[in-house]
Amino acid sequence: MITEDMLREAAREVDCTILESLPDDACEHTFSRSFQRKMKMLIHPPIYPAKERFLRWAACFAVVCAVLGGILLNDSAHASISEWECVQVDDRHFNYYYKGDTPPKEIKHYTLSQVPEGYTLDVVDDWDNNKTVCYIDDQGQWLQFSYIYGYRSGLHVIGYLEAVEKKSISVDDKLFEVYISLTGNESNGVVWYSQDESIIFEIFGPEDIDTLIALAKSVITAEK
Amino acid sequence: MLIYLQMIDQPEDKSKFEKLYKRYRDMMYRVAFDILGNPQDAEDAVHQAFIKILENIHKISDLKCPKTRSYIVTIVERKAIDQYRKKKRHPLVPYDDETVGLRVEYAGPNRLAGCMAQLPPVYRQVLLLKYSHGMTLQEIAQTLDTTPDNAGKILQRAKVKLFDLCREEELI
Repeated sequence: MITEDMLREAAREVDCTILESLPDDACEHTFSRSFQRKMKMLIHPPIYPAKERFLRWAACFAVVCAVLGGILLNDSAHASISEWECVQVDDRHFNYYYKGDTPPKEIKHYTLSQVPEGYTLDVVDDWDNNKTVCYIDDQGQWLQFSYIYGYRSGLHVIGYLEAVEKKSISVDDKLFEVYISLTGNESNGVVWYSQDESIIFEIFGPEDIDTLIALAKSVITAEK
Repeated sequence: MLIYLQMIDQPEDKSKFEKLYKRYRDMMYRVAFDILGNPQDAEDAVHQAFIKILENIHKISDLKCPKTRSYIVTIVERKAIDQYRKKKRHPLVPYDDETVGLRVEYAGPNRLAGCMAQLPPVYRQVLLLKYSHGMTLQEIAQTLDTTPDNAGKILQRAKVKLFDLCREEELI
């Protein structure tokens, strides 16, 4: 019989073995300029002043006008100048960079107004006006709803263990980015932004994309 | 799957992250290089690891303690394995079949620890995060970039594999 205490003791010993086998801190490596530049960006992320934001917006607008030949832009999610930029790192990791620089006028809180049958509330993680709510079903499957305010230069990453298919779909004039597990071993996901794009929302779970989008559309404001 | 967020505008977090960067970058590089064997790939893995560490920078209180060091090693090993998979272009290789990672050679008297050290890295990592670091399933999921559901499945499989090894070693 192996007890939890025995597992803890064994894990601590393995942990110590790994630490003792590590190279000496004094082994100095000369990092490439590219690496140092990327790290500098992490430690001191760029702040986009209002003037620069306007210029960027104007440049984007001019390009869009040229491409569309003067077609009037509507206010759909497709046409908006996004505050978020999604960079695909590989087929499993997607970085969302928030480019806005002003806090939202009002901090709101959100909740799902419906949850699929069989799920019960399991974990709520609330930090600095951002929230993650996890529901669990009787088979131990998790459904996760999160929203994150992007102000203060946020980086937001979606990572999978296995390759996923990512695509954008529009439902009722609202743009959703969907993540579809190719193997069925992992969660499907739906990501979207608030109307002013200050918040990124996401729902991940074992349900199909249609169900996840229905859940996304059920999100309402809530008391904190 | 998991989402994480960088918020490093707090001066104390920025200072802590810079210190952590200076203190651990060389060690992290060596760990990544040992796994990947290529300087560019190793630097990419270290960069990804630092992005990951940013997510939890507020949870790191003591930069020098073994727990912090161990946590950082876990992150960089994970990112190096990710980088390896990316380079090998085998994204659909089942996650738990992955054998690339740090080689742990335990020579102590605890036979259970000996079995744990032999596990594939992803199983060893999840067990260490739970039993050595005392992380919740949600925290493990966040560290390994997956959902709590997937983390739970990996943990379950890790225990099954560990117990199989224990049976082979006639521990149970």
